[in-house]
Amino acid sequence: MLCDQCLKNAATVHMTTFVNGQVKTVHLCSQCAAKKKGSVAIPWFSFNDFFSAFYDEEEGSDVVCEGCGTTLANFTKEGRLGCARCYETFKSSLMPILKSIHMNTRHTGKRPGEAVVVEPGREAALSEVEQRKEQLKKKLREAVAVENYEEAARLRDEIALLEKEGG
Amino acid sequence: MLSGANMLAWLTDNAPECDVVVSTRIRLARNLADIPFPARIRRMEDIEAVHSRARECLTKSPTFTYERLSDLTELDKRALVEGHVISSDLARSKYGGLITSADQSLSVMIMEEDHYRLQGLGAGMSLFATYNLVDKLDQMLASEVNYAFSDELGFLTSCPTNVGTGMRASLMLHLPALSAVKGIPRISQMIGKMGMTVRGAFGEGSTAAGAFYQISNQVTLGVTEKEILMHLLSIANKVIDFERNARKELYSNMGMALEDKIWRAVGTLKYARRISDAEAQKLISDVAFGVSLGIVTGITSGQLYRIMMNARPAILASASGPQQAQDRDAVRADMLRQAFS
Repeated sequence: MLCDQCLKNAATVHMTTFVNGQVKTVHLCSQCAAKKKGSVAIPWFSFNDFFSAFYDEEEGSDVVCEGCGTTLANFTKEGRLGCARCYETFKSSLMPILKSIHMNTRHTGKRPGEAVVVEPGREAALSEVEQRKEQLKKKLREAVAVENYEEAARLRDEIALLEKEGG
Repeated sequence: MLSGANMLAWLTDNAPECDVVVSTRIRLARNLADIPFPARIRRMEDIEAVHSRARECLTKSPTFTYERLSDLTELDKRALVEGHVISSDLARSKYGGLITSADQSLSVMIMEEDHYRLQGLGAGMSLFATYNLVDKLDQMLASEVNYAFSDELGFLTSCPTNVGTGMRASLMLHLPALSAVKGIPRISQMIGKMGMTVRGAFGEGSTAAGAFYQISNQVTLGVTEKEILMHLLSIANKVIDFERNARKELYSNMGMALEDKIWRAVGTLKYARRISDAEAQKLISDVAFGVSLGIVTGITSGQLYRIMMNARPAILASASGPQQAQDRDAVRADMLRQAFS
């Protein structure tokens, strides 16, 4: 397939954009894609574009997930995984994406079937804590302004204690 | 059972922070380990298995009923979308299913982007209580089905933006004063920096009809469910403070002009003969603003939010019957006149 832009080189980048409700795919060579990237105005943020931005070249795009037949090219184009096994199959490509979306690559939440204990009604108590913290912070600023450092230290400790309790 | 009778019963009066927070919604994305995700599913028997495993597990409890989307009318589906029970994607889907509790405060969308989307709705600021209900539903389902889960990445989802906890917690906020002082873009920016998003709760595009906004978490991996709830709670509390201060400020600056605007809204709701969906939202937003300032009495914000939902096109049409569909704005005005008389 030739590049849509220069019609000379082989197209290696396939960009899917979603503009005004229309899905549009353009096929570009790496040079034209590099030029285009700086100038593309994305009207609303699309994760599909976002994912394909990670892959300029079709490197490894023929890797196929044995669980569902999804290829890496499918994933970068559609931004969707096909099954649970895809997460293993495309792991090396996925990790940088996860890092950039979540700033994290490790699950810390619950496991299947586990119960998470949160106390209903704590919202109200917490908002009181928040309000109290705000008051103390205000007093702290005032204390610092009048150079009452003894009082400021006391207030700072009280705020720290509240922050610890607030979880 | 999809008639409007029980719908919205969960949207109760005197909910916490109900002067600003309309409702809480928690969604969990879950998939089965042994079946391709909905976008890649090919065999009918796999689709059937996704439906039947959830149905068999959850309908053991008399609280839950199961429905195939293909058995619902277009109107039913649109009403469910307006009531935030299902997404418009599910409404369009050929193979979708739905499990709901009687009042629709708990539900499972089947074959949406993920095999299952568990959802809980609660009135006002009820992040923890709503989460607890959804978590129980999640435990029920997990006791019988085998979820796609990895130790490293948590619950595996169709889109990598949901992986980890698979959890999206959101609050619907009524921000008339912050909207009036054009404070929403700044608040959105501030919230965006803290890993949350803000968008209009009704209507398409940038202008949120009636100043209703949805704020929700973006990050789902590397944070615990509790951390997500706490983070959203503390940010929402800030926004609530800003809104309350802006309301007071606005009232002290505008005085009579604001009272006039609010009483005009009451007057229109009481006497007008035709009211569009967008106008109803705007008017009710004004009245709710008036209630929070003590200008309007005798009606609660909870009642107002329910009336507003009942005035939405498809919910209204399913309650009033198809014979009256010709002039929906007149039907809406009739309903509103009764509600405000």
